[in-house]
Amino acid sequence: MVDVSGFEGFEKRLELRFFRDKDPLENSMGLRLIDFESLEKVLETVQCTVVSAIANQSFDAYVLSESSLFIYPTKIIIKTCGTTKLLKSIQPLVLLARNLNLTLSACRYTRGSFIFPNSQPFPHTSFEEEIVVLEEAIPLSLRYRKASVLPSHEPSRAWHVFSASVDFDSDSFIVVEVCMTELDRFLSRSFFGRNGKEMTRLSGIDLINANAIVCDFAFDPCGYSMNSVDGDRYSTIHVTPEEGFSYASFECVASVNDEDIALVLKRAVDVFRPGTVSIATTYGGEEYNDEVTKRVESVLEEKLGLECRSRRVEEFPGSGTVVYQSFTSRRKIVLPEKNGDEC
Amino acid sequence: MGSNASSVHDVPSSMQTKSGLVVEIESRRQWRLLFDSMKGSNKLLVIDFTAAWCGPCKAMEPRVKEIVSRYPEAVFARVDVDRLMDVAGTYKANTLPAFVFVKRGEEIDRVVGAKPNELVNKIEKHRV
Repeated sequence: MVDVSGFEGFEKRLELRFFRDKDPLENSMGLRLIDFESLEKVLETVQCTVVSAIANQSFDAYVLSESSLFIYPTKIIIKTCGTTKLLKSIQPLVLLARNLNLTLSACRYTRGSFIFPNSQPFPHTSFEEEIVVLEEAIPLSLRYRKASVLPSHEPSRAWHVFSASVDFDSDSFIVVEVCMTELDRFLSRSFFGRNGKEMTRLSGIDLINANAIVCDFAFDPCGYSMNSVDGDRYSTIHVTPEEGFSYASFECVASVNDEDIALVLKRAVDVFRPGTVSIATTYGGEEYNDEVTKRVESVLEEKLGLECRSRRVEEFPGSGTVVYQSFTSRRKIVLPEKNGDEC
Repeated sequence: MGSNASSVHDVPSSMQTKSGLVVEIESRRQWRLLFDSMKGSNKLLVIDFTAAWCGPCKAMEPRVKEIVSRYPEAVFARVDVDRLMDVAGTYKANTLPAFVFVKRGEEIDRVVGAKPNELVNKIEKHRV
């Protein structure tokens, strides 16, 4: 039985890291040597396809029918929305990597809370079931494992994390995952009935990072996806603009030496002026101090009227510190919903 | 599943399609000959920058083949950025695939990334 439901914007994200090959004579391309046909077969099992792609010296970036795929020499990131069966990709990818003499060193699976949880196929019907599948899919060598749900101020919104690794080494990047709902109705109009390039310009997405090269794609009749590449850094945005279940995500990587990440996030969130925002930051190998966390909160409050309603911090093996912040637009708090009332 | 390392490097040395042609540039000399021969005409030259390591380029290949066959009046030249580093450098082809549109020796447009629709739109725009 299918209830009234719309497209599920909230993504499932899978990150697989592999040990760097010690042999200096071996090709340093690593996972990027996986041939395209094999990648397509893996994506088929997940039920998505490549719609656009771009590559530079550091990595390959694919825009998929349901989100994005990034391939670095020793790291794969797949982020898919809708009702995709993302976990099915783990074993084929580990096998393809093994053919290139690359061994899995860490696995992380993260997601927010689904808008339409009952529309998800097994095992995505619950986090418990996802954990069972994850535990079975990854090799025993990944012996440090932790699964946790970080709550927010709202019971229907939480951040789910499963992290497993061979040792306590983490990635060198900081990863920021932003989820936005209740997008501003007028701004969402940019994502209807245009081509990708027009959507990128009209929405102001091209100004979030002026140095980056954008690979965008517009869906028919509405919807938008993009990956951007800037050296070894990616960013990715996915938009479901329909009212009732509007959603947008922004993900990027950063390091402590970067330009103020708070300003980048402010620019990204400003494109959508959402009613609700959550930000999950994974600090990897970086020493965590709450300066950045507090700065993000103050910038979003001052510049965008977004009030931080909850903040949770937790450690995970192979991923480092994860901080989950949840924000609500002040206009929502000040003007509660009333029947027939104009706000 | 077998070893996948070799298949990525299998780039055909020349691609002949029914009515369109993609010229695989093997040397700097070949590039100069082609470039100079086209300077004097109004024909559209589209340089397709790729690399053996570029997955997204492979993703684009079937579409390029199909698009090329529809525009026999344009010349498509495939340049491997590692093989012809100075040509890649001249056109700053760092992000791939990159399709650079050249007429009478001057760059007039480009498409960066595997974007078949944009490629077709620009060919339509510049072919005359």
